Amino acid sequence: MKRMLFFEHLEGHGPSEDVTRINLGKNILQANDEVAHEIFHLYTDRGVFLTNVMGSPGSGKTTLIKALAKHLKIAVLEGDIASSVDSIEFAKIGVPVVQVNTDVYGSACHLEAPWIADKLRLLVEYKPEFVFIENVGNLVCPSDFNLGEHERLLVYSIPEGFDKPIKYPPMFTKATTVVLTKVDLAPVMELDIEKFKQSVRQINPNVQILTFSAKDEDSISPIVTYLEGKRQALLNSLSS
Amino acid sequence: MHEYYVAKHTIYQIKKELGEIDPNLVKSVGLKIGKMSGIIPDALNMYLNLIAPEEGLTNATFDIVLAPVLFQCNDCKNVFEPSRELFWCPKCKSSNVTFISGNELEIQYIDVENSTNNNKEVERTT
Repeated sequence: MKRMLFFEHLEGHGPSEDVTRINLGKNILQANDEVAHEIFHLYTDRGVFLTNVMGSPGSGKTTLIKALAKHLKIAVLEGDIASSVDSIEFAKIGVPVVQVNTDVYGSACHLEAPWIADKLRLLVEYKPEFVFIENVGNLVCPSDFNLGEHERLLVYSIPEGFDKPIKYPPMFTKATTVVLTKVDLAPVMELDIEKFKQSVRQINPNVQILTFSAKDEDSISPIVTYLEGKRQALLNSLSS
Repeated sequence: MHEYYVAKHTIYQIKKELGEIDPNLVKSVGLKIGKMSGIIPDALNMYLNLIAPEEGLTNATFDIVLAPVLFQCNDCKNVFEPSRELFWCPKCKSSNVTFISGNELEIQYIDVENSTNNNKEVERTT
């Protein structure tokens, strides 16, 4: 009862006399976060770097992960509303992959930790160095759900325009890295890459911004180096 | 778009907190939703009112309070609520700012009607 009285003044108005107020201040998504927390520790202990890849449909999430697969030892968890189109692509190039379709969860527009936890526990057994969760293509909803990842990588393509960071701020404030894809289209779209970087940094000054073009094979190298560095930092933190 | 799922989580969490208490005794639930969370309050309220009776919370109403988006200027340390499109500090015009809060998805309180046989459990939960 002590705790109740302590928080009373924060509510602005107290409960009426015939009710008892249970003060919580608890996260609504606690059930999700508990599972995410467990996954985070599993992956951290095994030294596997877990990345949550988010972005609009068609922004180039699959293409980016396929390009990374040539340089890194990876496994992939594919999240889509329906179909196995993307997971077949990964299976063809020999990447361990698990498909999660959200149509069994009411065609959800995002992934939640309890839906994918079992699959992530399975993927880690393939002994990859990196696991990529390809979230459902969406620039709003996935940002609210923690999946236990080390890195929140937002894939954003040139044709989406430079103004989206201020139009869809939740995703951009929560991302730790933004990969700007289809940069070869910048001249056609008349989009200034520097202007885009500025508009991202305006709402998230600490974010890492990298660029990628599927037409230029060398453009993947900085992203590979960046992710390898991140994993090395994780391994160093384990041994220290 | 994901208000339905957040509503489901809300009801699950409330019932978990209630434990042995009859869900019918819940009068109101206070929620704090950050403006940066990507949740439309009206849509969340609609789903809550649809799901709650099915889950036994037949008398519950939901009070949603919106939490402001707050940024802090790294240069002059000013804490401010950005206007719709300008994310820079209104005081010193610096764009070197850090996001502080506005992502909240919280259950603030649950008001449970007093009845002679549930007082004990409420004491235990609080």
